[in-house]
Amino acid sequence: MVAGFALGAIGLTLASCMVTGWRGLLEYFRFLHDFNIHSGYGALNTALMVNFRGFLRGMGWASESPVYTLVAGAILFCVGIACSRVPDQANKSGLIFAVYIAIALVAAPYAHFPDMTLLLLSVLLALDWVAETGRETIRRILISLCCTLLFVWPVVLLILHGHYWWNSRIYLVFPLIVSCGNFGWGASAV
Amino acid sequence: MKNFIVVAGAVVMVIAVAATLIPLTDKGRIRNADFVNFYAGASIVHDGNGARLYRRETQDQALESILSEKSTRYYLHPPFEAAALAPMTRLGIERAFVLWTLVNVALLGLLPLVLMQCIPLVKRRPYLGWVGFCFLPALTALTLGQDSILLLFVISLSYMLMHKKRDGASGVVLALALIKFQYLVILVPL
Repeated sequence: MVAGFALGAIGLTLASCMVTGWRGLLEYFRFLHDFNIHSGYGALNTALMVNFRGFLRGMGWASESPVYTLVAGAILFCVGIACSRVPDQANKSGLIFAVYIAIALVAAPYAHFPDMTLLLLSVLLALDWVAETGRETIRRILISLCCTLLFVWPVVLLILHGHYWWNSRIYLVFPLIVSCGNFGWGASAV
Repeated sequence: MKNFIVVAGAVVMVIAVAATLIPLTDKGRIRNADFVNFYAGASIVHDGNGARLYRRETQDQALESILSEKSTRYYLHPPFEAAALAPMTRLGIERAFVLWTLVNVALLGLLPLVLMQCIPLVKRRPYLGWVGFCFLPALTALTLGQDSILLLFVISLSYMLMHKKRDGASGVVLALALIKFQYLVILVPL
């Protein structure tokens, strides 16, 4: 898979070079860097991000230091590695891929609300695992609850005029959701 | 039969959205959509200015000519995506936005065709693959003209190929997700 990805990436890089030239491609990375350090010339607001970077801003950690984000990314990456070590005895490969997608979204340095569309695949993989497991257990209920909340909670926020979760104490529910998810995952790993 | 129902459903959704969107779309409504930056990037490439794609002055000029006002909605995606979207700039921005939305609706509508081959739950109940139409991030992506639905389709396709043990093809398809490479930085190593 890595070979296929490398081949595809090389092909797209060459295609990009045909569009901009090598210098233009280097300008792309400089442009991104400038955009990032200037807070997007007015268009980028990290407080609106739905990743760990946005979480830190929303919680009032206004520092633009990338250290926190890098540390958070490293921790989440380690969580992903730990998940990959879980033996595939209970047909959990789909569930593990679902976790990988969630980690990639949360740890990414740039993620806005529409990007959470990717979680749809995670939700369907998790629900498939719940359906395949068959038995009515606490972990099934918790994972199902998390999946349902992904659909319901943004609508609740909109109805309550919060729009962004830190606008009200409604954010207190998020640690609960994360705990449910972790407990469900931890229980399923045993 | 299930495949036919999914395709028929997707066609119905595309027609329904087209009938709703075409009379309602005007430049005023699109002004704040993220699609503007895709259109600006694609216009620059279409006009043969790819080498200057990532210069602020080039993008400022393109945005001003599209919107008739200044904007900071800069194109930040890789050059190959701008090149792929360039043919769309033969249409005016309103028509191009409608076309792009219909492409996204079609991709979301056809998603069950991909997921049926790798998620048993969706194979049994293909309509579950359409829950994206009830998922707020996906609806936001549609409204803004974002490319998150395309990303979801690409990653789902890659997962399906991986599930079928076609790892090389899966990697090549995953490379297309470089349109938002910040997620692959985490996802690929995992």
